[in-house]
Amino acid sequence: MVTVTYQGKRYAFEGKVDGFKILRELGLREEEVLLVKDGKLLPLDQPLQRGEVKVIPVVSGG
Amino acid sequence: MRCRMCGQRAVIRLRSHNIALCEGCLQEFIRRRVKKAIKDYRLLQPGERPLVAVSGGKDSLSVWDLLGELGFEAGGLYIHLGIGDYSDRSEEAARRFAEARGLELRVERVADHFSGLGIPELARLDRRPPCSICGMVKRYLMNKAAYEGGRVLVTGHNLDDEVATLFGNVLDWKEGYLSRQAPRLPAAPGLAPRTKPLVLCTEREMAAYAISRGIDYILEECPFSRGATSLFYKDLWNQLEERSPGAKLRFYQNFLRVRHLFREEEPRLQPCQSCGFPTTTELCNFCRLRDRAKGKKGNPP
Ligand code: SF4
Ligand SMILES: [Zn+2]
Ligand SMILES: [Zn+2]
Repeated sequence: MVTVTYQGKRYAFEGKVDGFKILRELGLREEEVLLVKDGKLLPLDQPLQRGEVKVIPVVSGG
Repeated sequence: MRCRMCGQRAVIRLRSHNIALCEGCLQEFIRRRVKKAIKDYRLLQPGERPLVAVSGGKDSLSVWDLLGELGFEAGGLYIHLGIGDYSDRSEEAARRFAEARGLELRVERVADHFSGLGIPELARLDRRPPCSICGMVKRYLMNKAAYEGGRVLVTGHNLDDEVATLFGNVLDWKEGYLSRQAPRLPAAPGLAPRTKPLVLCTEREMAAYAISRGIDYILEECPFSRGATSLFYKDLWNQLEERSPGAKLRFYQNFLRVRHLFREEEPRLQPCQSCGFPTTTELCNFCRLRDRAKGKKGNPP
């Protein structure tokens, strides 16, 4: 299982998943976030089995 | 996905450049983009000493890191705005960064200039939106520090910031603002030169750079930025960019080619009677607000 944290919420993904699928499911565009796993940038096309993925928003305001 | 530069496994694709890059090559790519901006727009001359306005966020810490990598002797300036825990945490991030790298960081506190008041209280006192007070106060303190230190003021504005500002100015065809939206503003009496080395790098590229360099920046945003128009424009532009990769870069770079067509009469500046920095009125806005804050506290103005 892959656990994804985004804006304080946790989401669980079972079965085959990669970054593109995570973005689709969360309704996010590639331009507005980065995915990080174990402190490293996660390529969106990498197949994932388990682990924790953080969604980092890149848009800052003000 | 393979890295275009070295063939290793890529960690990110940049559709606007039609490439994918590994971590090391991403850093090199960003350094080249910043070098290109510096050269193409004459942002910094060899020997000029930059003063980087740091907020603790990804852009300002990264531009400080990059200028060091490119051989500039850059100092930092952090302005504590007095916006609750947000200000304390962002100061911490700026300090951690500077200490870890042995860089010189100067800290200015808004409260020290305004009888103990921070931005939220000043906004209430002056009945203006916090961001309008904040912008004026930051501009003043950044310019003062850079001017008095003989430095070039550097800010971390990235391509997305510039595109959002430009878009807002174009919506209303604000000719004066358009004529002044430049990656480098020259020095003038009482004004330090100002420059933005990240104008060719997107927000996402800068976040990726910061993460890959292990820069410990704060993700938290100023509470007053919620609902800002600039965030709405950035969202629109991310939609455009998805449909048409490179749209942001084309919009901005083509604007710089025609910018000279926009003209506005220069406002007549005179030295402020109290502090001597340039202003259009007798007393500059900073000094006027400072006097108001004094009165508020029961101190003689
Ligand atoms: S969002 Fe916060 S930091 Fe930015 S201008 Fe407004 S008050 Fe200042
Ligand atoms: Zn590479
Ligand atoms: Zn003044």
